Amino acid sequence: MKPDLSINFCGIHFPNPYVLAAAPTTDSADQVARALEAGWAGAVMKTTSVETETVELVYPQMGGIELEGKKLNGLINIDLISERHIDQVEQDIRRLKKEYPGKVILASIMGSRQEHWQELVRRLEAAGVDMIECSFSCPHGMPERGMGAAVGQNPEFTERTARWVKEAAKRVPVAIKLTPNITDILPIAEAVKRSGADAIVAINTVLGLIGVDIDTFSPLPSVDGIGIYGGFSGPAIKPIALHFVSKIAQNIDLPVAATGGICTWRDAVEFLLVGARNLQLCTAPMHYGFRVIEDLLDGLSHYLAEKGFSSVEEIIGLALPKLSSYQHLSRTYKVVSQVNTDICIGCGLCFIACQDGAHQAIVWDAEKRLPRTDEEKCVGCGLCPQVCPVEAIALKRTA
Amino acid sequence: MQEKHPAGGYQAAGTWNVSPRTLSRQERRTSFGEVESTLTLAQAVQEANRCLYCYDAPCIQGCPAQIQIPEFIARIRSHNLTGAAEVIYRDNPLGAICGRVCPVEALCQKACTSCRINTPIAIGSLQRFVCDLAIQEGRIAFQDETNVLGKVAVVGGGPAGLSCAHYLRQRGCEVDLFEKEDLAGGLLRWGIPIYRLPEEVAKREIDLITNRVALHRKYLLGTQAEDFLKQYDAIFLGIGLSSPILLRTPGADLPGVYAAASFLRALREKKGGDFAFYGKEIAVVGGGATALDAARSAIRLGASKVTVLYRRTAEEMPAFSSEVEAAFQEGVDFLWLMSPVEITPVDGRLKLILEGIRLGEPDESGRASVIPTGVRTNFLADAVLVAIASQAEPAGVEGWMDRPKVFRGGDLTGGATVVQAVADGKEAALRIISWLEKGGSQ
Repeated sequence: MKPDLSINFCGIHFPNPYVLAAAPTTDSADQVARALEAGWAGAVMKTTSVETETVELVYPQMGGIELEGKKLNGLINIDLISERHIDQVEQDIRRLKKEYPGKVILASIMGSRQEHWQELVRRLEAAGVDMIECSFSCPHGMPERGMGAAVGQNPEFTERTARWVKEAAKRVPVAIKLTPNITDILPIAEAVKRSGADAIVAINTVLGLIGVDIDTFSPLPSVDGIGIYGGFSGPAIKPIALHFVSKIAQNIDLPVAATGGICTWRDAVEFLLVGARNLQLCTAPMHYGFRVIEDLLDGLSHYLAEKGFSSVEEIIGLALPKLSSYQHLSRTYKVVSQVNTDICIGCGLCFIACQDGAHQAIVWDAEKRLPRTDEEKCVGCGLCPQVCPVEAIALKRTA
Repeated sequence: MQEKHPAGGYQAAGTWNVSPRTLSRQERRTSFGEVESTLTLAQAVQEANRCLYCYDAPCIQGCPAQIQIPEFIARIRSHNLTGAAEVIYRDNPLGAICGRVCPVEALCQKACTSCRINTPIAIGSLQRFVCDLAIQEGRIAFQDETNVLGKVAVVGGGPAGLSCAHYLRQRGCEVDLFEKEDLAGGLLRWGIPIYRLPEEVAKREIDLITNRVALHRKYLLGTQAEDFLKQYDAIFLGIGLSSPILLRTPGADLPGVYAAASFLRALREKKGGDFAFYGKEIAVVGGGATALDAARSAIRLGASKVTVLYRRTAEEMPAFSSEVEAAFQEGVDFLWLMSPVEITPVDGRLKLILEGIRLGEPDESGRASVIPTGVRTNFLADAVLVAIASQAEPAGVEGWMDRPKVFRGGDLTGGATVVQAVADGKEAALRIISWLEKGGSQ
């Protein structure tokens, strides 16, 4: 039997855990309709605000990190919230809810004053949205106006603003999207909990500078020679997102939607295992299109079936009991690296890495072009399996 | 060069293996255009990214010139193209040439560790890319030492002599380069067809060396040889094997029977019109690089049928597999285990009497010995190109090969590739330098 991929998040039924994050991918009903047709469970419409908050975007807004031939290992953007009028966003929501009643449409909002936040909630709720997401987290552009991450970096602002939204929301649950650009997420997450909001979304993009053009000296992306810091997303930020999501899941009694570097079903499983109940994606569909949903869905489904789970609900948080602190790690557990010479191709990368970056425990047989571990010297640090291009090195338990 | 994207990075990358743009079979049958194009920057970076950067780099062991291959590939990866060119030219002053004509499948790429998990890194194509771009952008300027170490005569302006002259100049030797033709380059100028090595590519790298020496053109050593021993502190002989050996069979001197080397030379001198092969059937006798170059050139002149006659089989052919493969793709036919024993004129054409061959135990060269079977067949052709062997041209130096001041290299000493000649020339230069540094005693 096929595992049940549906999931309950804040009392709302999601046909599967995959939702499009508020982004350029969700700036029109036409785009979102394409995604929902492709199989996405829902979408967070690109963040909107009241009409007095004028938005004037600049271009180009994107920059990517290429690593050894692979593009977009990370994506930076200096995009802001939607330029579209809230009337249009309302229309989009009405249309999408009518055409796709089984899917979930969320609205993302951002305001500066109480009456703005509350007006946004009332209007979008009336338009038929299923859930409200509040961006306390946009790291660039908006904080200059006291919005976005300027709220989410301060527990007091966070709690007060979340309360305003929660007060205004009569029918729909409220989720607060947090920024990772902060020393400790817990005071902020606790503030969200105190406010009475229903869920946390983590993380928004990481504030960064994607690069500098070494010919023109312009920071990138360069708008007529001038650059600014942007919001960094994609595969490169997954470890940061896993950290924040697991920490919130372990410490705060609120459901968490994860976002930040989820690109494949394997990433999805990892976020579910550390406690996420909902998964938002952005960079992967921006890179390859909405069709990525097909592998996300059947990869997850096959994984669950092969592991003997009947629903995605069953795996949520399974890794959390195994997430501990340094003092609790075993001092008696010992491993050493072991080279499988049947698989080894003799490139010597493990040798040079161990020689210069570890404990000089790999011996190189120049004649046979084969590495061998000196088990007396090997502390089992685990560097060599990371550099091996053919998975020929495993860590063998010795104690 | 690729356009840089305003948001950084370069466009059009992926993680596939790259291959250069290549002329189609049809294009190759009608033109002498270079078969392969130089990689684009994006392609080169992409291919460089596949390099494992092996600790012990077996590719270097496979390179006669000992180019530090992983080092130049790492520099392509980081877009340090000037650094990449420096790495290549440090060990091979004919980098763009060798990037084209090296039999990489038998050298560096054969040794590449990636062969065990994928195709080898396209080292030849990468080297060609780096050198082409560096020369095109004028980034290659050799700095020679200025303190004079000695005066050396380099006899023969082929790849061995050029390489030797280059490394001698680098160390501050005065070099007189003696070339029997009016242009230096040897096989690079007169032998290798332009679809493998365009004139301009050869010229650019040759000029970068000859511009730094005293070049004596159209100079035959002859009887002045003995004076050389007195005039120079050392002498390098890289006179190659420029004299083709002809068939000794009856009819080998008939009109229509040519030395393949003379044919190739005529093409390089743009006298291809002397060989009106269009619509004709051509027989090529031999199994080495020259035979294949001649066969592929005949195809390009529009010959309707080109057949390589070789007395052993594909296994034993001295030509490299990539050349045989390319010839096959272009429509060259092969007849194995056949040797001509007589050529006679028949109605304006040539009739070759071919004798069948059986292979026996390996001979002293290590290859299977050739045993005539007595079975004879007739083969008709309009012209015959002979490429069975070549020898050194008499240069008046035969008597002093073993003199202490005299050093040798290249095809003359058994090399068979341009890169081996480069390696020989470099090695001889280093020996000469060390000899001169010790005051001229071995």
